[in-house]
Amino acid sequence: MRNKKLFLILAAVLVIIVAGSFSLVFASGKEGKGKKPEGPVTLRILYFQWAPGNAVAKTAAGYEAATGGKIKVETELPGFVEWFAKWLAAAQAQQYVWDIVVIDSQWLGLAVDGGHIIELTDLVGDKPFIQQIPPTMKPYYMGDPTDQGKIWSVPLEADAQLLCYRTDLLGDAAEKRAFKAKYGYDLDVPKTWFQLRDIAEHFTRPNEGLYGYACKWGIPYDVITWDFAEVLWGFGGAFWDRETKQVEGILNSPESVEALKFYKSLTKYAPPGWANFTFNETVQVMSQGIVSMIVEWSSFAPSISDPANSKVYDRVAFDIPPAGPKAHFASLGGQPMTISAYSPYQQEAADFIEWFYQEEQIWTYAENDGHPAYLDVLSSPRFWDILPQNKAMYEVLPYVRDVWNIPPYNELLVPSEELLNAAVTGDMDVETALNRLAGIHQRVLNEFYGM
Amino acid sequence: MNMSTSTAGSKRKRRRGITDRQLKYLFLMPCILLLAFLIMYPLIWSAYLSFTDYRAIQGRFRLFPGLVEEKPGIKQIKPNFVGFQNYKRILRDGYIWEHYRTTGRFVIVSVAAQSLIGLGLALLFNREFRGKGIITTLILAPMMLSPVVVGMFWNYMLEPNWGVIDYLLNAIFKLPKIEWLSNPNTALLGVIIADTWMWSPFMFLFCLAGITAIPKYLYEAAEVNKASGWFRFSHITFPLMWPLMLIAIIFRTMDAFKLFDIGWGMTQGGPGYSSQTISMLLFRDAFMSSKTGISCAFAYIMLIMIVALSNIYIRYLLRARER
Repeated sequence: MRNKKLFLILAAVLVIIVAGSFSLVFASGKEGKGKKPEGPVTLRILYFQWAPGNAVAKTAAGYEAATGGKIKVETELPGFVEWFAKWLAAAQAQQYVWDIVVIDSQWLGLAVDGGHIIELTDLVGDKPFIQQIPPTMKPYYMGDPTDQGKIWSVPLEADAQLLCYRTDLLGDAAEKRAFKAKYGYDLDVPKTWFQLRDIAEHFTRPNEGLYGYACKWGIPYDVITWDFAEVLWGFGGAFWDRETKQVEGILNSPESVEALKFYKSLTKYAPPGWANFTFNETVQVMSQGIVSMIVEWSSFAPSISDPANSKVYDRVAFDIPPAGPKAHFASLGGQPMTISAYSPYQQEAADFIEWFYQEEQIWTYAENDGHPAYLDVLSSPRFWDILPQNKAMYEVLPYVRDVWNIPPYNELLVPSEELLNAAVTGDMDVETALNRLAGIHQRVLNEFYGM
Repeated sequence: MNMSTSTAGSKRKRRRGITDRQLKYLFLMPCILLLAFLIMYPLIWSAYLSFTDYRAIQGRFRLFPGLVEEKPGIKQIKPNFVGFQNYKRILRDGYIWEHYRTTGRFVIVSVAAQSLIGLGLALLFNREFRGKGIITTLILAPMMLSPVVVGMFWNYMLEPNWGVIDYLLNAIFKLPKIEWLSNPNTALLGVIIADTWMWSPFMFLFCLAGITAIPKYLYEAAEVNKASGWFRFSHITFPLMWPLMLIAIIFRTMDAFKLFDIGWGMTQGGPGYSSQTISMLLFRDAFMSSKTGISCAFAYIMLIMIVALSNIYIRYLLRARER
């Protein structure tokens, strides 16, 4: 009897130890909203490693002094791919890791629907800096995916696709003569996609190691979808009807098919390896002097004009992307700041955002190669002098448009990346790819919106 | 007398406190509990989720709400039970079967290539020569590397603009630039080359162990009977090392079937779908699209397939051993 008792006691102790260990695992991160840890406050920001990320870190470093040492700010800047993976993992686990998360604009619906960020209407809605946000960016950077006029985020980095071209090639007198003789019009900065294709063809000389054009045709993340979007809209096509949630008949319409065929035709003038090009490769081929033109996000472009990274730093200029035969749009990128629903320092985070948007801080951010979504800065010649693309960034504002920022964004994006890449690489024909993509997107939207 | 013996026995028992059998279970218990929690719990939980439309990004799902105190701000959701709908959807989706075909092509070609290279190297190394130890170590080095690193490494080597492979092919054979990873027709081949480079040493190790274990007197007898080299290989070497090689093939097949890291590092499944295996598709659905329920169903289908495939091999292995 005693032996049995002893055995049972020991077994029970073991079970308690193991169960206790697991409960500790589950209880980790228990300090949630409302349970503020004792001691000095440290606000944690998540963004990623690039020029605007470094600019945020440099600007935020001044907050400790501004608060008299009461609040310190730590900025975590992982690589681009890890940034999304980290946020997604923390959101899925619903854990407090950061107070302010700078998210990509298209994650907004996902973040609101999952309850991962808090509404900012009451916290910042009446602040003066809200009036400084460019109107064309507001719906995408602060947008309420449920269309109820609420503010969920505050724009940080304003970003859009820009055309970057070689001034020495496009401005060369001999090239101009040869181009006019062949195409019948003057060689200049392309104003339409068809002009861009002619110029790309003219400068494609593989024997000289020179190619006409590069952009982001690869699969990773959202690169080909946003890259194709501005061509699609320019040709009169669209991904969907935002009001009716209709995709079939729109994404695979004759206009959309024509747009994708045109977009695919540009690959003939691209350097080898183009099918896997993302942001880095596109910037790299331009910086190495291998291509005459690229279309790239403004915020990824600073290294092209940096003598330490670029062979053509003094021979590049920027303009708005070309127009299509039916419309003129530029894809919108950029990232807004959000406050985590799991943060115990939500009021402190809102105070930081308000401080960040004061003129002194916003200029510190801009002077460290950031592009603030702040009209007085964007329209100022002082800002245009910081980086060669900054004036074009201001000029592109009337043309910007975003693709999706609704909750099922990821489910729409993944097949979009694969099928558009399959179409341009010839793994699938254009019509089949768009029909298939339209079918998948329609199913996702029907399921999500219960249609 | 009897009474006193039994009293003494029970005193001894008491002194010992616990029987050997109980002690055995006691020592096993932490491990069993740990395994039950780390393996059985996720298996059962994911099996349950595979019958729901749960999406992890949309909120937290507790089977027994209220059992654990939740933090304020946590959004709780209750997914719908959808029966076998997720399984039906996967099995009827032609798009998913394309990925199975890609995976099949990858498994067959890469495991076959690794087996042949591994066997060839083992036959070459089944003799004494100077520097055998160091060369063997160098040959085994690739399989010690992280697959992600190998993927990145081959990504650079196969790059058409500055990669060493295209440079050498052009310098030696005057071949034009091959866009290994950006051409749908060659992307999977590029991944196979990298995987074969990494895992042929594994096959080599098993084959070499199998060959070394063959009794020398069999070769001596064959020599006395003036048997040809081919006869010795086909009647002694191969049949006797085959069971060990088969074990290596089982491991490699299971591993190749789950290919993710090397392929993801090199192509992310592209161009298009040309090098996308089912593991990559599962990763995209589970972690990028947050389709948790359907991904669990997909993972179970994959698990059943791998178990079935392994069973076929194991049965064959047992038969080979009986022979």
